[in-house]
Amino acid sequence: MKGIRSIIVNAALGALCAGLSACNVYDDPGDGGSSSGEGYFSNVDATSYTDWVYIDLRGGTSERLGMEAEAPAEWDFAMHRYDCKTNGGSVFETGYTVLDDAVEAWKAGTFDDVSWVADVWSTDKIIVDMSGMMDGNIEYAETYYNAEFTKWLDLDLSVMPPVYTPSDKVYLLKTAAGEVAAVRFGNYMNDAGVKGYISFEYVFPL
Amino acid sequence: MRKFLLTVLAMLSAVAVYARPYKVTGTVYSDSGEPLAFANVAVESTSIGAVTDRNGRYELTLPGEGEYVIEASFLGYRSASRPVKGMVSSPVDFCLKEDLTNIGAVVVTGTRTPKLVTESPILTRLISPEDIRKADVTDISELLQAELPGIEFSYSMNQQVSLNMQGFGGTSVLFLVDGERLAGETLDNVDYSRLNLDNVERIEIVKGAASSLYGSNAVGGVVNIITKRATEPWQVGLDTRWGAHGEQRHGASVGFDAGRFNSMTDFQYYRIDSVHLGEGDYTKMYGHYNYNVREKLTFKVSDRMSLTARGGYFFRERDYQKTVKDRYRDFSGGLRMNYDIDDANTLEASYSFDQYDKSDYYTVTDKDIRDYSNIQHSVRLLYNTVFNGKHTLTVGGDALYDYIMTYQFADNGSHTMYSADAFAQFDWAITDQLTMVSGLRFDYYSQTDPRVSPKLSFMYKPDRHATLRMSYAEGFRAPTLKEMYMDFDMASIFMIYGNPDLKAENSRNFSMSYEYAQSRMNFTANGYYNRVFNRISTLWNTELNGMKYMNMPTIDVAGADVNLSVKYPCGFGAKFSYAFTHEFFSPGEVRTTDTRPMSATLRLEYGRTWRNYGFNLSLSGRWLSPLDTNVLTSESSYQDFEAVHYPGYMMWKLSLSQTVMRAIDVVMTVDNIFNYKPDYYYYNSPMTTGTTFSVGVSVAIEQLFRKY
Repeated sequence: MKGIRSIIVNAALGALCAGLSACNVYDDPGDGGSSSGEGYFSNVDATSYTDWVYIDLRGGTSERLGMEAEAPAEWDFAMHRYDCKTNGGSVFETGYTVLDDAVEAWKAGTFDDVSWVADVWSTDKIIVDMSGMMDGNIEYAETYYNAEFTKWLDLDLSVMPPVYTPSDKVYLLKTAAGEVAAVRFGNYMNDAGVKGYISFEYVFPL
Repeated sequence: MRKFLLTVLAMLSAVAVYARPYKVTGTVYSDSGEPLAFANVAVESTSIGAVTDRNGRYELTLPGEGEYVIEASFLGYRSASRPVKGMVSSPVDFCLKEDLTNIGAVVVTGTRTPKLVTESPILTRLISPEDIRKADVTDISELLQAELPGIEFSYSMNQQVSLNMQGFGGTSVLFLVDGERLAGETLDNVDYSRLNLDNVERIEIVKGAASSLYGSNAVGGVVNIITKRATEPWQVGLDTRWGAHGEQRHGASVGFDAGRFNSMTDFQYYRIDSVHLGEGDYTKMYGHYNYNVREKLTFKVSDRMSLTARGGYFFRERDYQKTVKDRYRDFSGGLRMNYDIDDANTLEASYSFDQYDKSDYYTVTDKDIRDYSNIQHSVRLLYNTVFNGKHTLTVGGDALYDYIMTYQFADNGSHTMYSADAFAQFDWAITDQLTMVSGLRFDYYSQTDPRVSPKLSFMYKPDRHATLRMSYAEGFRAPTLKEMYMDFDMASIFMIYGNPDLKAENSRNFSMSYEYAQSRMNFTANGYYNRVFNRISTLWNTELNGMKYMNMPTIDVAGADVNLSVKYPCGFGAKFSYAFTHEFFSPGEVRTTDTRPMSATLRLEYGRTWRNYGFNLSLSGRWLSPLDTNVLTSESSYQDFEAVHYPGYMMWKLSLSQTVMRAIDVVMTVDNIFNYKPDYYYYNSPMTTGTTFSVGVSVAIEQLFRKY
């Protein structure tokens, strides 16, 4: 019913606008600026192929540094485009798509016996230069990488333009100190549609 | 007071006498003298009508003495009308000329003046409303493929629809609606889904260069879609169609033709689910829905002058990705004045507006962000004058404002282009048998070089059935703003750059055709040769480490097509078309083409009509030959080629259409009856999953109320 109503409203709007070139039925993309607050990060700039963005969940801060640069003193996980690594931690993908539901399940002990996936050293996962793709020469960085965490977004490069499919799942991140965070990624682009700006919500510690 | 009442009574009785209904009778014959049973006889601008009996006789009741026009029509015959005035006592008979193959239809695209299709100096292929109804398709791309060989709609990147018409792509074939251009393009093609067929009167196709009349883009041909006007005092049409993969189409139209006003409003909605295919370049076709609402209102200022206003809105949404829906909108409007100055001189002035937008709807943020907008305003003057009742001079001019904002320009920027043109054409009837048409057009562009486009064509009619046509014409396509100013990052893989120094793509077209037309048979054979200069395409540029729009070397394209259609009064009909295309490559040059060398279409049909029931059973097929070509290979930086073979295929469709009470149409169709499924879905494979079934119902409500 909502669909029909939307068609009628849109058609009426369209008919009204037909002669008015100034007519605007669109939204403003805004400035796409990054922000963070209690339990969320919005539009984290992970657009660079040659940087990691380090996230400190307790401090609510992020810092972008080059691939080879030394990591900051406090961080829980880092993002490079849509790739993730942890600070000596491990990750489990839950079946939940709502953050609070996953937190409740954690409290109920649902995830007591699950298998956590730690980072692995990779030489062919983290792309730092796409420009050679047409030659079959994609350049990769040698770095740690967490395959479980990176499941949050499936990126299919076999078709052009690539197809992005978010899992919408809640991920549990166990830090090296044994604390656990619940993280749910909400978007892989900003309001203007520029990809690589990442938004997520989290609860930490559980 | 008494005197007054008597006067009123006298007046009322006079009116009653004047308005007394009376009967008109007559017979409808064919031109061979046979009475025509079940022919329609209708009184224009009223809902009064009749159907002839088995002896071709009809009887009508007119409301009173006055002036009326009675029209007789019958499928397969040219309609005829006769005025009646006052009380008619003698029979009003009609003699209808057999025309089973539409030779009496009028076309305008070839010369921009109305001509009988067999007398147009430029060979024009006509798709009639009857053809459209029988094809049982939704938009122009499906219809053209069903009706014409040599036309193939396939998919380019991102599942965008891409046209190939005998070697010419989407930018080289000009699509017009009532003579007006369409704004917007995606990967060099207009949005064909805008061009639904709910409100289409007919479609005219002229192959070959036609820039001397139509300017830019008329390189490979012109497709002109002519929309309907209301023909009844009031009319309401409703239609619905259901098919496989959740396919649905629903439409409604409301029209009236009353006094000085004629109005037509139509609405159409279409949807289809995503379709999962097998292995291939694409494994899934994105689902989508669209709707279209249009209004056309004509006001007859006088017998010689009319004003037409139109407006339309189109919306399409595609299920592109899980969190992103592609949206396409079009806002259009226009005003037109047609003025018949006298019997020999006509003037047409028009203003047209078209805005085509693309936006992305993000489901996560619930925001609809526009990233493309093409706005066109154009004005036009067209003047026709007829000398000695047979020679026609056509002169005209246009001015166009073209604005584009796109994500493919740096910082989502915009560019604007102005263009103007003037043209003249002389249609000279040298003798009763020989006609010469010469034309010249000058086009000015604010950003690129001006163009001059000539045309010279001859038509020779050795007898009343045969026509020989010969034509030399030039066509061109001005570089678009996109091609001149693109600055686009392709997924961080490479850049695509525009080129402001591009020259216009242009072609020299030579064509010859032979047509043999009579009421039951029509045959055409057409051959052509095109030399195309400065084609515009992207080339890899090592210095820029990206693609750049460039003018390409000259290419020659030659081809031929033959069409044969027959129709017999017994109800049997057949239509066969075949097209052959050959692109010439220099010795040593790698053969790269998207054009299949051969294709053919065939339709066999049988139909009968009685007083309250009619049917038409049709079997139609389409065959496309295999294509052996070369494509750039990813093995070596996309700079070398590898051979590729695209298989040919054949698709058949069986359709039964039934008409009840001359108002209700039910169409049942089995598509792909031999269950063809590609082993691998190439970009040019038919995106079919096998045999499908659809059913559609349409109702012309006013026909149910017609007083037979």
